[in-house]
Amino acid sequence: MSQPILQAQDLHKRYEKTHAVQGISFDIQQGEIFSLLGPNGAGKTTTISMLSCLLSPSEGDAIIDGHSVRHDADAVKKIIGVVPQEIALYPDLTARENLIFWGKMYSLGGAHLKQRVEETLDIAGLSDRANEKVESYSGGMKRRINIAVGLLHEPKVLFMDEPTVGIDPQSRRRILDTVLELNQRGLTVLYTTHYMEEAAELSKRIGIVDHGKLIALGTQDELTKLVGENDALHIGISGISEPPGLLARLNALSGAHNAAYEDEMLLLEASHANEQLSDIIGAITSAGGQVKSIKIEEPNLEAVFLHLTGRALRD
Amino acid sequence: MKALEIAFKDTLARFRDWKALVGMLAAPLMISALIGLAFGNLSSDEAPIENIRMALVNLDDGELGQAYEDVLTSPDLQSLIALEITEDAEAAKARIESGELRAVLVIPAGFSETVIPDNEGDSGMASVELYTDPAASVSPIIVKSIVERISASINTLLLAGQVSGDAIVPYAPLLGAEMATLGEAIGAELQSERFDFEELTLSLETIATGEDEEPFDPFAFFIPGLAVFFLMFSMFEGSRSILQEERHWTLQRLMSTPTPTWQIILGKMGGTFLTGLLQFIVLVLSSALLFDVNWGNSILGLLIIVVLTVFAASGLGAMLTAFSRNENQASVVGSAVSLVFGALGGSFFPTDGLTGIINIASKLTVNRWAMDGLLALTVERGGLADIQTPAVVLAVIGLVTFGLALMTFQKRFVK
Amino acid sequence: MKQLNNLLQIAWLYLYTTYKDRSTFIWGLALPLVFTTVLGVGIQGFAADDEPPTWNIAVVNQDAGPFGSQLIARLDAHPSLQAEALSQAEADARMEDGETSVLLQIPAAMSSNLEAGEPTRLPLLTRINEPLSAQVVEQAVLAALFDVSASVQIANTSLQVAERMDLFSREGAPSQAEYLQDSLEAAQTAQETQPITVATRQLTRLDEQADIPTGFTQTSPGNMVMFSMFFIVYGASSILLEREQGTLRRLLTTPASKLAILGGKLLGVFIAGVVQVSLLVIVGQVAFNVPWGQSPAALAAMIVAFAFCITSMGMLLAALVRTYAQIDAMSMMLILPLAGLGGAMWPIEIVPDFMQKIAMWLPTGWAMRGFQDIIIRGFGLTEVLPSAGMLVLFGLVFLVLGLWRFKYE
Repeated sequence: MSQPILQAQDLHKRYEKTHAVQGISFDIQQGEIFSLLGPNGAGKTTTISMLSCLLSPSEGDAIIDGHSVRHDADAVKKIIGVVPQEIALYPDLTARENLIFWGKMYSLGGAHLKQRVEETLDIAGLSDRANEKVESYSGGMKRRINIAVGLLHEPKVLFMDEPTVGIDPQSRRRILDTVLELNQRGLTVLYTTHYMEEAAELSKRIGIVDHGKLIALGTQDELTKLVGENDALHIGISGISEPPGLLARLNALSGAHNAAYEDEMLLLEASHANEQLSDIIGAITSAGGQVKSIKIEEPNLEAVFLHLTGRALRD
Repeated sequence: MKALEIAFKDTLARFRDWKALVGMLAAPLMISALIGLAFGNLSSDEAPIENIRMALVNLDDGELGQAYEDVLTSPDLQSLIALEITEDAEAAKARIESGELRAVLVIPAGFSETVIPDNEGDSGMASVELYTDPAASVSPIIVKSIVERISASINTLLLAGQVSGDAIVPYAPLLGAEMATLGEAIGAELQSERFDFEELTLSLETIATGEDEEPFDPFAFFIPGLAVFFLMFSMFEGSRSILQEERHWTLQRLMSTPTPTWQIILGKMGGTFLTGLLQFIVLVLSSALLFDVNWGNSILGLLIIVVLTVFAASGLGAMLTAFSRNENQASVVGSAVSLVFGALGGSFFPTDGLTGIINIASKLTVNRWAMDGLLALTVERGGLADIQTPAVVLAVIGLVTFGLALMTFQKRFVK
Repeated sequence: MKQLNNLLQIAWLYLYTTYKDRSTFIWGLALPLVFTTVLGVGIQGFAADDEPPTWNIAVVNQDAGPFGSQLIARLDAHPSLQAEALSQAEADARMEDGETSVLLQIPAAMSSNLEAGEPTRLPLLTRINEPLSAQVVEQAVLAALFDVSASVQIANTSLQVAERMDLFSREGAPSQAEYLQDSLEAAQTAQETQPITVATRQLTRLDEQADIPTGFTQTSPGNMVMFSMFFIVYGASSILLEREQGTLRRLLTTPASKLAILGGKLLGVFIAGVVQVSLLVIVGQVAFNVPWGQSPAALAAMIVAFAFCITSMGMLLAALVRTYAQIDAMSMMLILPLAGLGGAMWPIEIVPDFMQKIAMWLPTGWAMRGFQDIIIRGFGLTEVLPSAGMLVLFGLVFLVLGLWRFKYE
């Protein structure tokens, strides 16, 4: 196996009161799309911020293409492209003006800059509206220019922090396609998201982050095996006055584990859901609850997260 | 130099935003136009006040009441006083209260009879009553002095008669029976000499001093004042944009590019400076074109003061922003400081008259030194020599605040 | 009943969020206070109360005759002037340093001219940057000149009467010069008791008119009107913020009627406006001794009418602009001219006639008039009703237009 292009080595970030990242390590291979999956507040953005030299790690280091983020930030910054979660653009400037400005920040200039601006506009699919103020764009268009800025200087590694937050399904589809296409051209991508489907679709290897820790890492298959053959059940119920009692009773059933209750939604894993369903419903009814909906899912990343943390992966 | 690119980008973005332009350019020009409408007449040689509305209630049927009426309706006073004559004193006074009249002069009944000596030479004293509008402060003074001068010239006539008689009495024995013609002689003399109060033998020639000094031009004072006042607002707002960039993550994105942090901060502060400089220059040029404001004779001096004023104002803005906990706090502090500095620093009235603690407070503001420098050029028509002190003070303020801001930001953003 | 409750709830929410925010106090209280003080002190140049400002006047007397020194004495006796005789060099130096701003020169020939009945022009140099003060000083100097020349004219008349009666050809008669000198002395004595006096009285219903501090009768109501407008208009336009945040839409999905929603919002703004204006009134009374309190009924009527009018104006503005972000700029463009034209920035008296007429077409003009009628003229409730009524009228027009044009989505 070749040398990984990015190695995160036991990264920690401590603030006065919180320990936001508590020892995260992973490698990313050249040409790979690697996803960090986790709920909001898990530490994904802090990790990306350390990798992009915005925050210096309290402990640990990361080596990107042979350069340390701790000691050689300038070299790292030239290699990486960053797409922040926020629309980090100037609304009063046009898309083209934004791209030109950011290109200059990467020391691009002259004909090369012009060419790159046109190329990235093309990738974003906004060449025909490049001279309009970003302010007037739709959410999806802003997101696309936001990505284009990260590509200007032809980085070796692109960090994308939740690039699909808050946009319509069509725009999201388009962005995911763009990521896949860029990857096919050889770009290495570090992608963070709290959408299981995105991580599953984009990347072979996924790291699951929660509470500042990398709680699991592997291919999708490797990860789902962690849950075993268990199915995930989502049961909408009402009328539960004492959730802990019910959860204890459910966990006591043979073949059911990790019952959790949140917002009138009961989550649990069962080895053979179909067979155990009547027992589960019985337990709910006897606790005074009423079943409103039932959804059974084959093992997936959502189930993995539930299995590892006892909580659902959602915002 | 990437700092320059950042500065240019900020300036461009600022001048693209019409809402920002309202505060930077439209508002000061609009208020200037208003002040021009309101005070435009101060700049001419004419008296600032004219057409003072007053009423005369003449209850006297003698010649003296008529004398007041004659003078008040004389052509000399026509532009100053808009007089109407009525008989109802109470109604006239009520019209002061309703704001229609500034003053009412009442000549009481029997006024002439009381003060003009009778055949025995006896006379009494009497008052005319002048009622003025308390809501006005200037026109009552003017009306009062006119009425006092009319009274004084009538007094002079009366006293002349009295003194002529008294002076000759000791020599009555020399004149014998001719003393009986005294009254006639005085009457004839007064008739021939009946002075018009305009015919003073002593007159004034009022000269506004300074060989090259021109009459007071309200624009030469108010427009620099407004320009500095609105400059402070836009400098504080501009400085805050670094926190806004932090909120929008463009600052973080900037820091993720291979650009040194000090260049980013310098670029942001430079952008504010450049914006302010353009704002001020546009205000100078447009006010010169629109309102014919004379910005003085020394273009170099003006440029120096403008550059240093913008430097000090943007430095102060950057420093206050650097010390603020967040954007909201920076905004409240910035607006408060702009307003207070404007009021204290002489953006609204001349600071010449300030004394004591207010004067000291005034000297702690950027506005004060900017105004001292600008007024030395616009009002006093001075040159480079007259702006040395303000220039040095502004430069020092600028250097200190810029330095502190740079250091504080650097600490704040490198995490 | 239910709608009324909704309305009150919405009003309460506005008041709660407004007063929880500390910047409310900076904008609403601290800044107007500073402005009123500083501008009040600054504007006192216009003042004409019982302690008028005095000016130092430097006099260069080149006249060796009797009238030069007499003139100086008369100048000094004037309540607005403090005269000091100086050499030309000293006087020039003082003018240069700005220690004195008025310089009167008495030409050498003044006394002889006066005696001969010839005219004399006296140069008066001023460097007062304020033409209104210059006008006052000029009047005072003229009065002194008048007194001096009057005494000479009285004496001359007396002399001519004696000549007319042929006194000087007679045995034992004094010389003409002697007679003139005696007459002049008699004239000066006689001038001390003038037969006609002018009794001037400011027409106000207040008892203690002498205590009104002139600068503050302008700046206290002026700043109150201007700052309250910003405060209230910002408050009313927060409805746009609610529209943009989506809370307005959410409110519309509740059973609360549109009337209850907007009405509640405006009621909250109005109450906060009344509190705001009242606070500044109290500050004016306590800190600057402005007689606000002499007719509580009149004051209450004006405050309520003004707050209503401006709340409605804010509603209209909110209906006319598209986004909340425009409010800053638009309110500045609206409020500053309104304040200036209405007489809140400077005394309306000193602007030209047509500008004074314009003020009567603006709510600010009526607000300033009503408030100043209370503190200066001592008006009571009946007398301020026309001003308050005009404000209510403006308010109703604004409100109707605003409600009609407001877009909920």
